[in-house]
Amino acid sequence: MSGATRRHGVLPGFGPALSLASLYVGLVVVLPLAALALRATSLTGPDFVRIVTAPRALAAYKLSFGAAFLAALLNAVFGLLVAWVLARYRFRGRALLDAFVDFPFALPTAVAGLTLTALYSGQGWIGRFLEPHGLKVAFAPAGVVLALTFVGLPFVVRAVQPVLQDLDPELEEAAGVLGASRLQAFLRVVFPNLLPPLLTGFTLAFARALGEYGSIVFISGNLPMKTEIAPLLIVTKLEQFDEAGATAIAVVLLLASFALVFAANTLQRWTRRLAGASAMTASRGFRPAPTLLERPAVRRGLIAAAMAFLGLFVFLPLGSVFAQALRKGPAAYCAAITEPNALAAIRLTLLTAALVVPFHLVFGLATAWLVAKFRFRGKPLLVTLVDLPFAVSPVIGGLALVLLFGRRGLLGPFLAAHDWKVIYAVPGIVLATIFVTFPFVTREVLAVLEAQGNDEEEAALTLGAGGWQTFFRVTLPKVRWGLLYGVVLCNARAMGEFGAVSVVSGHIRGLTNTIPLHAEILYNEYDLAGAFAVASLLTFLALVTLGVRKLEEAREAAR
Amino acid sequence: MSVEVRNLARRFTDDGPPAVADVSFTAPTGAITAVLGPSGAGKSTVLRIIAGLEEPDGGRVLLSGEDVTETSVQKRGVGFVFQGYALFGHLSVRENVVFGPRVRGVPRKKALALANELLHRVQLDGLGDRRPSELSGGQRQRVAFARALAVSPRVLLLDEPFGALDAGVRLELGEWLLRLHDETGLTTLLVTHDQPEAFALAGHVVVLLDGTVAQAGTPGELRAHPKGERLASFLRVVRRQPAAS
Repeated sequence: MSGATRRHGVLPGFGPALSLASLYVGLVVVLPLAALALRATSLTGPDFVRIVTAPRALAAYKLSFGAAFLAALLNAVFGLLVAWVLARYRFRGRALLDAFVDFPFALPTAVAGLTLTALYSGQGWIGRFLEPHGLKVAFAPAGVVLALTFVGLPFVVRAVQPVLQDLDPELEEAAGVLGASRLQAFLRVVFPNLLPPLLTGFTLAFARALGEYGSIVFISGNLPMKTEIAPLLIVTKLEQFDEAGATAIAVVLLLASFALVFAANTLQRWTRRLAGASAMTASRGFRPAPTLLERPAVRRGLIAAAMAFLGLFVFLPLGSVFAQALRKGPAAYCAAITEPNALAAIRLTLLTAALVVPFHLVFGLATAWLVAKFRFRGKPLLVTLVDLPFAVSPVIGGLALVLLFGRRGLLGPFLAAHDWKVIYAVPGIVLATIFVTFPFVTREVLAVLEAQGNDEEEAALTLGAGGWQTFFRVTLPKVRWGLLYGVVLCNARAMGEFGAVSVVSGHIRGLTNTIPLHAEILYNEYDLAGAFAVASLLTFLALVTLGVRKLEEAREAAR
Repeated sequence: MSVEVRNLARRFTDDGPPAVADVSFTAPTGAITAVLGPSGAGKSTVLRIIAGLEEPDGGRVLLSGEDVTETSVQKRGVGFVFQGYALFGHLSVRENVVFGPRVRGVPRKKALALANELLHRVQLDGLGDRRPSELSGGQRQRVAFARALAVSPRVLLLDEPFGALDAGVRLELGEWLLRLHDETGLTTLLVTHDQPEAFALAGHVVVLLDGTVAQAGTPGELRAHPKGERLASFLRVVRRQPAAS
């Protein structure tokens, strides 16, 4: 009972949790990014400026920022529509739509790139109708926007939907009583409440799109000055052993990611303040007076528009994966996933996940406990660092590892002296995967912990439970469904990671190829059916992940 | 077992007034004492400091004259009924009651027998296997009492125990609380913002205003001689309002 407890609260475990979380964030996030920063400082100012303002770099930045912004804008508009329809209307198929909003989040981006390219290329289901009219999507900037819209789709919906659900219906009823039309009530009462979460979702979608790599590699065509995005330029420079150039390009992207994550966190605080300002929130769902609902025609139109958007961006790509995988018949499908190189890729992917997921499980739990239960200095910084790997391009994560462990990296001489291989070997793949899957367990558990408060833990303490007893008997059962989803999501992302793993793997067939990398090789060899067969395994995994998410929601609702 | 606090102080923000400025009072052994005050007066903070859930910036907490200010919440031996009950949602009603004895090392059989006895006493026979979410507000409240009593506490601390209930149920539970108190004789400290409730249940009332004790005494004394303008107006304003929260 020293001064330490007084400052941080009465719950036990501050010291151990702080140690674990610091170690976790320090080693996985800060150390690699510090290596990147260190490498950047070895560049002189003029050199740096010359690299980042070269015509090819400027063209890449222009495409990356422009396409990411457009995609985030599209997501803001359609995300708001989908969130509204899901939160306010009850119709057949609603639960299905709701579940599949998270599909782009669970599906490996390389698979998304594969299937979108197949859909929009000249022979594809959609491309064949567009190209005769001169509308080129695949291998053109439009394809980049399309793929970025896909990967950013869940953010706006998931930011806006809960706020909309908790909005007190009496606000709109009051507006109606005062004479506001339905549209006026929306614009003047509802929309101001939705603005902060809408901007949060926009910012997150923007940040995510800015760093996206896996899907773009497939759909853009990767033509310098035309369809080359900034993360791809980093990889290209790295493959030419131009580490300085890669670092300079990466620093600019990294600074943009920092700013966006910081902005998103600030916006989230704003959202919470607004929610707190309303005296009451309706937790039992939205039930306004019947006279204040939209006309049936308007409602049907909105539902149809939301369905069309999700159909085009989620269900069509999903169907296309399996159609392509099976187009040479079940025998070819089985052969493609059981040939030796495929099996080696599957084995390596499983091994990686088996190492990465338990690691995040332990450290993520400790970090979530620390952030949710204690007040301490530096907490906002810690939260930002936890979120950072999510916004940083996976390619930059891979680059940072190369700068740390590569032959000319900071630890390169030391590793070489002991004949330890990290880069272009399995340890590098595991480390890269740990980096990109960093936030998932922490985030999911943290959300549950923050929603439930400290009451049950405090009750356990007054009843005489110690720190570990409280944790294992009260907290862990309370968060288990959130934890399960965090673990499953982490697993799906670990198995599907493309960009970061691609940078550090060296693509040695049968040795350092994971499932997504194997799919890319098959695709480059024009074995489309084979590529899709392998990709369909990861798509199954994404579907299972969505199933667990639904299960978690059902359990939370039953509490 | 009396409860005494001396010069308690606690602030949550560096600027602005402290939540608890300087609070001293004694809750006599075996009686029900109400801590009464408007919201923001610091009532709950005082109760949480007594339980050991908050640490004071200054001041002492004494149980039966023994200084427990440095004693951890687990070892203080208090029963605490939370405002929102804080029942463990993942456990059945019976397992909620069993929890305290079990973490204190009581054998499971004995703990179960005790739990059944307590569930009987709070009139929840046959509901032991339900989840808390399947009970009404009043029933949850009684589970919270049974759980708090299961550790044989030295004192019972109640944080707005009837705040979340509607008027009819409050009345009923108030009478039930008085009967329970007659049976157990436990020193009980009750935090409430509801003046009629405080006066009806407690033999001794401590009125808090702005983090300090405005006055303490029996309901009769307070009614007859309210000390100062603010206190008189607080008591009168509350009296004029209905008992809804």
